[in-house]
Amino acid sequence: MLMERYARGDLDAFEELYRRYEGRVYGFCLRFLGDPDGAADAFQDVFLRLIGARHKYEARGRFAQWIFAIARRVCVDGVRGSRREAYHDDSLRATENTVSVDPVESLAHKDALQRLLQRMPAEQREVLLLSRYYGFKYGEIAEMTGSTEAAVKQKAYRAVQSIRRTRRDETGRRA
Amino acid sequence: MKPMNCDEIRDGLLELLGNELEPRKAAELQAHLDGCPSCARELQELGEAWDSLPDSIEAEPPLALRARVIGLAKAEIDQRSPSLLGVRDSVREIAGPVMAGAAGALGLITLAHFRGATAPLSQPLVVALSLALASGLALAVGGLMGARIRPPTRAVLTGSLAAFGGYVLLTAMLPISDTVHFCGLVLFGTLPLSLGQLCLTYLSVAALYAGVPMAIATYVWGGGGGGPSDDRTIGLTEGLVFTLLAVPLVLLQSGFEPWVIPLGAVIGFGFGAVAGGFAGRWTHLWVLRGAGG
Repeated sequence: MLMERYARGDLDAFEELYRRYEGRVYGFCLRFLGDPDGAADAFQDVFLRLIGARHKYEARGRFAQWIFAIARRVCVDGVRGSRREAYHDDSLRATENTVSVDPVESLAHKDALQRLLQRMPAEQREVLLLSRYYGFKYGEIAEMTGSTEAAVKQKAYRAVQSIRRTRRDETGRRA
Repeated sequence: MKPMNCDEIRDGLLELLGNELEPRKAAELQAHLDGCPSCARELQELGEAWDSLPDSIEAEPPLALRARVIGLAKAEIDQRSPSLLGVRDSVREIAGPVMAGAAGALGLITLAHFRGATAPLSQPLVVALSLALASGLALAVGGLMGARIRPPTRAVLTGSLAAFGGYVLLTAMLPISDTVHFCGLVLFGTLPLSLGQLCLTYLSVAALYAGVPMAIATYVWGGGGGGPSDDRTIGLTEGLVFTLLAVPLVLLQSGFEPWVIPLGAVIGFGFGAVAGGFAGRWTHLWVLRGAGG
């Protein structure tokens, strides 16, 4: 186990962990937050927490489940933080009824997936990303998010429904 | 076997998309789909939506992050390598905070001496015994701890021990009332102290004898935490442990002093211990973040 080797002070094990997870964790942060700067901050925060937890880590479940539980926590906090900042920013406050402050929007004009993701609430977005791209089972996602399996399934269902609606709308507009 | 209804099918469709469906349930689902055009259409549309998503969302993080994150990991390992945490190192780590408490105690007493208080330094045997007691506590716990105890627990044990060592050192030399008089004299230059001065004296004593050694110990041993919850847990646990350790001594030494003295001591030292734990932990995290540039 790489994390256990790292816990014993093996820096090579950490580098290998980083190499294995950098693309996946950064991809998750980027898609969840939709903002490269925010994603870079979140990505660094995830690994900072991993470093801080070196001696506390217990190999109870899959490492991937553990690190993505951290990643989604950091990203959820990031979304909340950016909303708070937006609310307190006077320049945005004047136009908050007309301008979306969802951080996902900044990638949206470039990217069809991001357009789909921005239309769903963060809790559906995280379930969709974790199940579709990282292969977590709904029960595992429930553990990671502190929810129930039934609630996770419902969010996943709504997320896919949202994609279906978006596809339908876009097809209708093109026709 | 009871046939599935359309509502139950919804969960099954998602599990089917996520490849989570057991073979038996998949067969039930298929049986339902064969006879239900509405659910079959639902599955087809959900499947199209699912398949329309790109296969991968992996992305390359900025290159500069790699050096920064690995630098952080290296700094953390260099700072606290478990392979070095033998008994001798554990003792050394614990002795530091205890000696810091002792040095603070001696400094304060020396200051009190020069401001006209009775000189406790004329009792070298008591000073030596107190130092031996504080060091003995450190050695005993250090020897038991070895390298097997997790850092948050170490932070709590050593932080409490450091504060306790400083406290023992002071109170073994002087009864609690005399201690307060000395510290009050240092702060206010006059005796007797009013109630307000007494409270301020206790808080100051707490900051020096409990908070400072505890902050140092927590900083030194704080390598295993992960976030704000650890700060809170460590700070509060240290406060509780230290207060439980200090209460009997405070009560024993308070004698027939007014009720405010033992109560003030417990509140003051408890406050100092909690603040010390938080200060040490936050400093550790701040330094750790700073190491990453």
